Amino acid sequence: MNVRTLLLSVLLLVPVAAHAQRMTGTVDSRRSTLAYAAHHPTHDWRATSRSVTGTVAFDPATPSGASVTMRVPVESFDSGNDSRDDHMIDAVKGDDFPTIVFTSSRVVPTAWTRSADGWSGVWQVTGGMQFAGRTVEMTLPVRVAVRGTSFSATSQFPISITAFGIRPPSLLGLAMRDNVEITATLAATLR
Amino acid sequence: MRRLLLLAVTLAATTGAIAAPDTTLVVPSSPAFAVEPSVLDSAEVGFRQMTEAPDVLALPDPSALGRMGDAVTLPSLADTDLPGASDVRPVVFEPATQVDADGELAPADSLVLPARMPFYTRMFWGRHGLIRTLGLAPSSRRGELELRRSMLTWHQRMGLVTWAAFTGQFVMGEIMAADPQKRADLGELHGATGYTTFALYMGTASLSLGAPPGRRYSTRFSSTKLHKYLAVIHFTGMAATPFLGAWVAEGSGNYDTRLNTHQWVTRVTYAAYSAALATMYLLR
Repeated sequence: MNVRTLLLSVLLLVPVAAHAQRMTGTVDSRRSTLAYAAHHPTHDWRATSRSVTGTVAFDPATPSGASVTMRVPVESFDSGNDSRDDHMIDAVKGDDFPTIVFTSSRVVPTAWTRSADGWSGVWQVTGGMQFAGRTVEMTLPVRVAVRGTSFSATSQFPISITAFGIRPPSLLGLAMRDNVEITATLAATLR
Repeated sequence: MRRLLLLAVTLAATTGAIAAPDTTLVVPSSPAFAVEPSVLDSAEVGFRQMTEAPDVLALPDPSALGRMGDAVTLPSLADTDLPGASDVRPVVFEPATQVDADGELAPADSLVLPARMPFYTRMFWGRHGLIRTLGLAPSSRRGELELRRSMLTWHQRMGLVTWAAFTGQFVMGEIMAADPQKRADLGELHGATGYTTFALYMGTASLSLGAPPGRRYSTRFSSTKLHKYLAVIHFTGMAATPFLGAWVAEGSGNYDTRLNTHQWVTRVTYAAYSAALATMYLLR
C-alpha cells in the first residue's frame, strides 16, 4: 500500500468515523415512566404509565441534531383507581386516539458539558405532542445525562388539556383543573 | 412468521376489521376476528403486499362461526401454493364479536370483557347475562362503554339529588321523633316523601348496578372500592326503611322500640350514604 492509497483510505474513513458518533437507543420501558398530576377542587391525584416506548438518536458532541420520539398508550395510566382511569380514557377519547406520541423537531442545548462520567446538561426540546386527536407544538425543558451507553432524560412541564380539545372531566358536578403537570422519565441504552 | 403476521392482517381487513394499535377489534357489519394489537403493529408494513391473499383462501362461512367465545380455526396459508406456505402453521383466532339470533352483533366476552367483574355486573352483562340474553346489549363493546359512562354520570347527578331528598327526610324524621305533636302533623307527609326518596335512591342505585362492565377491575383498595363497601350498608338500610316506617306507623308491640329501630337504621343508612358520597369527593 503506497502513501497515496493510505491517505485516500484515511480521508474516506473520516466521515464514516464522524457518522459513527451518532448514537441511537430504544427507550427501556422498565425504567421509563410518564406521569400526570391532576387537580380537582376537592382532591388531587397522580397517575403513572410504565408502558413508555420510543427512540433516541443523537451525537453527544452536537446534541442539536438529536431526535426523540415517545409513545405512551392512553389506557396504560394507573392512578390506583380503576373507575377514575376508565373515566379519563373516555374523557381523552382514548378509544379513538389510543396513543400519546411526542416527536421532536428541534433540540437546543442550553447547557451541555462533558465530565469524567460522561455528558450532562439541559436541552430545550421542541416537538409535536399528539394527544386526543390533536397535535400541539411545545417546547420542553429536558435534563439529559449520558453515562457510557446509558441515556437518561427527565422533564417536568404543564399542559392544558383544553388545548388538545379535551373537555375537563367532572366529578359530582365539579370539573377538574385544565392544567395538568406532566413528569417524564426516559431511559435508554445507546449503541 | 412474517407471512403469518401478514395473513392475520389480511384476514382482519377482508372481514371488515382493522383497528388502531392498542384497541380491540369490533366490527359493525360482519363477523370479525380479534388480532393481538402487537401483531397488527408489526405487520403494518406488509399489509399492502398481501391484498391478493384472500383470493387463494377459503374463509369460513360467517353463519357457521358459532357462539360467542368459541374459537375459530381459519384456513392456513399452508394449504395454498404461496411461496414459503409450507413453513406456516395453522393459526386459531377467537372471534371478537358474535352474531345473535336476530343477526345483531355482540362482543365476545372471552376477549373483551374484563376479569373480576362484580357479581351484579356479571348477572346483567356477563357472557350469559340477562341483558345479552334479552338481546338488549349495544352492538359493540365501545357502545357498552359509552352507555356505561352515560349511566355513571347520571348516577352521580341523581346521587346528589337523592342525598338532598334523603337529608330532608332524615331531618323531618328526627324532628318527628323528638316531638309527638310534630309526629302527628307530619306523619302523612313523611310517609309520602319517604316513598319518593326510596324511589330516587333505587333509581340512582340501578344506574350503577346495571351499568355495563368497565375496562378493568383490580383487587386493589381505592376510594371507589370504599364507596361500594359503604353502598352495601346503605343499600341494606334503605331496602329495610319503608318496611320499618310502616311498622312504626301500624305495627303492634312497644311503640318506642319500633321508633328507635327505625330511627337508628335510618341514622346508620344516612351516615353510610353521606360517607359514600364524601369518598368520591375527598379521597384520591
